[in-house]
Amino acid sequence: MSGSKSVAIIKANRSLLDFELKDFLRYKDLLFLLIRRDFVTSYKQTILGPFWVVIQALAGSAVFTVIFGKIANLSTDGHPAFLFYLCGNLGWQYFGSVFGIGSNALQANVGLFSKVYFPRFIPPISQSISTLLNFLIQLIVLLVAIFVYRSQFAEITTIPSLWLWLLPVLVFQTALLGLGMGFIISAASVKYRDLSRLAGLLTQFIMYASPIIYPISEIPAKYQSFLAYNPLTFIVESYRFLLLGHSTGCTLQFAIPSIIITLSVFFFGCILYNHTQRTYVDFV
Amino acid sequence: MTGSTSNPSIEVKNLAKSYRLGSIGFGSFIEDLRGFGIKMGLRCEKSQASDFLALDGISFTAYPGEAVGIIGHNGAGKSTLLKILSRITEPTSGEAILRGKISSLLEVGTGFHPDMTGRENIFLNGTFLGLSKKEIEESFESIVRFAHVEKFIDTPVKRYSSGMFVRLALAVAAHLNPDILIVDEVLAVGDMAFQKKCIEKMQQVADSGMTILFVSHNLQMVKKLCSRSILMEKGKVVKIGDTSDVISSYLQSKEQLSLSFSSEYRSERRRGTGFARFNKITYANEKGDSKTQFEVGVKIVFKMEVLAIEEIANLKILILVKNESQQDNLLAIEHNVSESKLVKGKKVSFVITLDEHGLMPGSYPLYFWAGTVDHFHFDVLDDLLPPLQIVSKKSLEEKTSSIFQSRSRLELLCNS
Repeated sequence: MSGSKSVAIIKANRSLLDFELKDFLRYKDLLFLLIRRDFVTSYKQTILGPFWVVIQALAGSAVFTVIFGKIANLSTDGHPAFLFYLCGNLGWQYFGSVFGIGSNALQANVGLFSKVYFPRFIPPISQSISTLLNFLIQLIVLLVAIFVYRSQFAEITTIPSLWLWLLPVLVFQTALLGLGMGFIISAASVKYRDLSRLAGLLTQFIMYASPIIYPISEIPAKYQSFLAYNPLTFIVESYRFLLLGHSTGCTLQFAIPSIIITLSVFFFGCILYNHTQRTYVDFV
Repeated sequence: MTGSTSNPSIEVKNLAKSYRLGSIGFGSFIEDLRGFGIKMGLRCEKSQASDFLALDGISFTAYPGEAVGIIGHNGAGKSTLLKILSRITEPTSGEAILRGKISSLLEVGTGFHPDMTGRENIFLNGTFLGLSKKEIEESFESIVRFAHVEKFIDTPVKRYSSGMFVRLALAVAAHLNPDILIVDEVLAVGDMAFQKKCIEKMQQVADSGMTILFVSHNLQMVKKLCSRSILMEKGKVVKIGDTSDVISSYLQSKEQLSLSFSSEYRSERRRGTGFARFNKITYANEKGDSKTQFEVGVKIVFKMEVLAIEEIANLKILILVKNESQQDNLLAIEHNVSESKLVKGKKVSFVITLDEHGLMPGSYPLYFWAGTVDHFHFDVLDDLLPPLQIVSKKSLEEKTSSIFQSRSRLELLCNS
């Protein structure tokens, strides 16, 4: 108890960059337990359990295949439409859930945050990790689907790229972008809840502004450089490159702005979130 | 603890916290824009919003091995102080230095998940409160034994009885072993025997060098646990010193409060439409001596005066006697005062006598309500007046009865 006693100084107007990282290390067990809790409790009292994720993924892509592939006749970059949408949904849905977790972080945890101190970054980070379970299930669905397609149709060349081992890095970037954007929304809507309404609208808008139901190759070349500033363009196209074998948006031209924007959004989001969490219980 | 005994474990210097009054909406958005405009150097009208100082320059220190009580009326700023020291919110100005591992208990069972077993919840709750997994493993057996839930440790806590749930949560809290423990009223939830067990455990750890900061309305508990106490009033420290001195000046200030009480008193905290206001409420014994302390079994007389601010009719009065945690109503005393109309500016005074009540020694917050028979609220006082203090007769041993029977009556004095 003696010697290495920690000293906490509580005062107003701390530095924006004071992220309490030391405490974060002290509470690392909490992070692991929360992830475990989410795993254990997420499928309690359901009969089909994780199969719901499988059903959702298959049904969602089937709907896209009919509407956008067959009726609207959008190009799918030479991939079977079903696989194309399955892959697009994989990245998009992980982004969407992490964005949702981030944009609700302060609001959903107010019961905890107003009663006990622990690093406020832990709940959104632990949830972003535990929602990877859904991502993994969807990933397996996609890989199985690719295998089935290839064994049924000889002309299909879709196959995961040799760069597939980079997938964790891509997932990490997806999480950073989702959390960063979410943190901004969460912090900004503490006082004025109007912004949380905007978040729902924004999600829909982003989905259509990103190449999820269409490949970037369908966009005229002069607009492509413009779309490179949407960080999700590179992300979604890279999922396709890694899992389906080829895409046009997984190039440096898309990568550089996407990575720079992702890092800046994440950094800015963290600062805003960290600053807001210090006193937000006064407002809610 | 070598060498650290000379250093205070809690040093609070000039801590202040202000809140902005009023609701958040379009109006406050305009205010924010104005504030932004002033920052940007634009000439804007100065903000009209009024700030409320919940804490106004609080300073005190506490040393290792010391248990310090914090008492004060509702709204004195106790909870705000604890929230700041627990790092849940930041002060507006000032500073607090806390040396050592801090655990704060503002709630029992933080982070408990109903679907998870007792075992899993011990770990979850413990880590929320700042323990590492290893530390919990070390005291796991002891926690389970303390809570007496050995048989149910692998059952989801949603199947627990509420008593078991509280015991398990408090057992985790009792095994935190921090250097500084901040406790807010949470002990009020357990049953008496278990409360006693917790207090004993806390006393043990306090003796081993822990600093405890303890907020409670239960004056007897504060007296038992804390040698030194702080009296807060309107966000300021009014008195620091020996617990029994501080408690007596607290009771005195409550007494004074009831004497200076008027229809305008603390109008910002009174609820209701304001068509009528309590103008005077005093507690007295049968002989008419006003006091707030009564012996067990003695008749209690409430003398009241209600002022009609608007024209009213069908005046009804309700007094609720609450338990210390203010969660349960022990007695509800209801009387219709008069059916006749009271014109604007008229006063009605009356006396409600509580002939019989089963109140055991303790302190009982009171809730006064004035309204109509058909439930219009005119005036509501939630614990704004002194609580009833019931003390035991010397010869009378504490009974453990928890069934309350009461009989009361109303006498109209004048209807001027």
